[in-house]
Amino acid sequence: MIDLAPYVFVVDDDPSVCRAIQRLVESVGLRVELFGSVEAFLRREPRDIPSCLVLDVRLPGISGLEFQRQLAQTGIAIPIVFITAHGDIPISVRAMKAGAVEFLTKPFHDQDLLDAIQLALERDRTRRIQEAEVAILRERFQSLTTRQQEVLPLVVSGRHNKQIAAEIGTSEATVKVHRSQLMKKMWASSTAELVRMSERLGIIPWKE
Amino acid sequence: MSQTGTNTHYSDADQASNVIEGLRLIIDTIPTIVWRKLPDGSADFLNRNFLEYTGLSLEQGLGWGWMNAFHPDDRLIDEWRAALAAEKPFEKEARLRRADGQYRWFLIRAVPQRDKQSNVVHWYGTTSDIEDRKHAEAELRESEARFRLVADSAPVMIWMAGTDKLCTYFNKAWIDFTGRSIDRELGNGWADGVDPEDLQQCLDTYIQSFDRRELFRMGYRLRRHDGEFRWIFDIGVPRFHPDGSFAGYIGSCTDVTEQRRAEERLRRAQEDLTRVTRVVTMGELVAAIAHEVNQPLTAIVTNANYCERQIAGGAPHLGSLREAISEIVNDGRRASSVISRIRTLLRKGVPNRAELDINQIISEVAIFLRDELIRNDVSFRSDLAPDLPSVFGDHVQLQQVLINLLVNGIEAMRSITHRPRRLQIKSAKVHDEVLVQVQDSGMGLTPEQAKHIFEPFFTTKPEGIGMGLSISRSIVESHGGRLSVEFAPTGALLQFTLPAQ
Repeated sequence: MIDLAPYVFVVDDDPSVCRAIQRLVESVGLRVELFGSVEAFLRREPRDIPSCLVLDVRLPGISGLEFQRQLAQTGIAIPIVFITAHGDIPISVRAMKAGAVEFLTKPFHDQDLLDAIQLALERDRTRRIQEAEVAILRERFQSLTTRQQEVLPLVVSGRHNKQIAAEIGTSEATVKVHRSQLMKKMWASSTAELVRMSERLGIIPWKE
Repeated sequence: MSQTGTNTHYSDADQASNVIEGLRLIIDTIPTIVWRKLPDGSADFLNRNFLEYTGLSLEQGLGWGWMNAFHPDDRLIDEWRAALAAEKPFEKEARLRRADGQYRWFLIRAVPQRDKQSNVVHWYGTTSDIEDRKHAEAELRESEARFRLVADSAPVMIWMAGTDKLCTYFNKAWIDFTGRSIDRELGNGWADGVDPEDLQQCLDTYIQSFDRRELFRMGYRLRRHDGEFRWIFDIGVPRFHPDGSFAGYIGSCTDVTEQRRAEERLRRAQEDLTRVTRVVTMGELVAAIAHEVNQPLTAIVTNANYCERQIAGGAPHLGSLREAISEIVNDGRRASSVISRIRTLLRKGVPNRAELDINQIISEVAIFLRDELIRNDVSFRSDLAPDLPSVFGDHVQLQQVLINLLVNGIEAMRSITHRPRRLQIKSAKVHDEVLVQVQDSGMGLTPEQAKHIFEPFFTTKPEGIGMGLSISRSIVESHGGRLSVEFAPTGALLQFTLPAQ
């Protein structure tokens, strides 16, 4: 994955505030895209670049918190930095509980905003890396034969070849071959690593 | 009868005989019983009325026979004896048997006749039928007893006064209330119990109404038996005899202290609400304005921060610096123009958050708006969900939102004349939120109006300042909820949600 300059999306219905944020954020080498409404934001071209959202709590038509909920429901996992004219604690608590990176009261300190944006981008980067890793693991898992996919949960549940052979009704030698093949295909150097990979893939170890 | 003229001339005798006949006629015709008795009590004369009434013959009645006509319990033997001995006029009531066996009440009166030596020669008497009067008296007594029973068991205090303004009667409730004896209340005594502060006004009303024979209503404080002065509501009504002549007054009093206290509490609550509403309205106005001012301020601070950074970096980009500074100037002007729209700003009250029952607040607000609803001929219905979860919020602020939405609804229907004005409020639990809907049967909103309805200074009303819904929205949002306009087939439907606890 090529690490291009990340994007900061700003949604605020006040163009003047938008431009000021853009000027500040661009001065630290980030790219900024401005939106006057959530609808405009949702219409953007999705890009596979680390990004975060600077979102005003109070927007025409929908509250920022409601929008946060909608994004979560539709599986858009973009980190959000809230900005608001009300320094209201209950709202900020709810926003943070729902996964917001930061909740800043207008007018905010420039460094606070930039720090929050950096933190948000870092989270997005981490998330993207993790997602990419999982995607690779999933690809590797897909490359296994049906039999190997069947054997994998038994291996990660800590069974010996002999037990596995008994479970799936084959010889111990065959199981040994399956095991070494799937270790190779999954790029796992040890059973312990295979266990970690399975966890990330959401594979449940086989139980009696 | 032995009393006939003797030793007179014939012609005189004739004349005397005529006179006697005349007297006998009178004595037998006057509508009463007339008799004469000897000093020992035996009768030597009974008129025809006696004989006709009792059905006795003269022979049966004379001597002691008359006594047979008396009711066995009313023979008055001792009384007669005493009177005869004392030789004083006699007056008693007794029942006499009529010819058909029925007894009627009679008044018996007798006076002694004396000779020159002052010795009693005869007793002359009348016996008059008083049965009807007796009945009337009994009826009156019964009616009086009935009145007293009613008056004494009535939960109100009752008094009566004669034509001279002096009180002649107080019922048991009054005596129980004041704890004083009836003697101390009668006449003008009752006024001693009236609070000195109220006495003058009380007496003025009493005397003036009395003189004009007019009904009066007055309130004053009266000392109760425990020493506490209680508020009394007193209605006095003039009484008149059947012939129209004035008979005095009758009055009833009620202890209205609790009622007055409740009214006082309600009035104070309303005053408080009005004051709080004003403060909250101003407070929320400030919040709404704060938002409006905060936007340019945010832009200003952010742009200024940018300029600082550029200058600190040593190689500022002059073009973008100029741009940023010019925006700072514009935003400064913008902020000042928002402020200049409002001359007075109040400090925002600190919200007082607690667990609240929205249904209860709706009920409170409905009471406050009752007069407004009646005045505007609006039929109001509330459809409140039972077992609604509580919400966490500021009681007064949420009252304010509800009042705002309901008053908006009422005002939106002012122009409606051809169909009923209906205002409905509903509460419900929807997912993890409490939903409140207010619907009117007014003209509704155009899509354009609906779009701008929550913006500050937007109004469809000539006298509105356009802050109500903007303020309501900021209150609802500060509670973590949403206020919105929803589509409705008729009228406008506004709703808000609050997170359920």
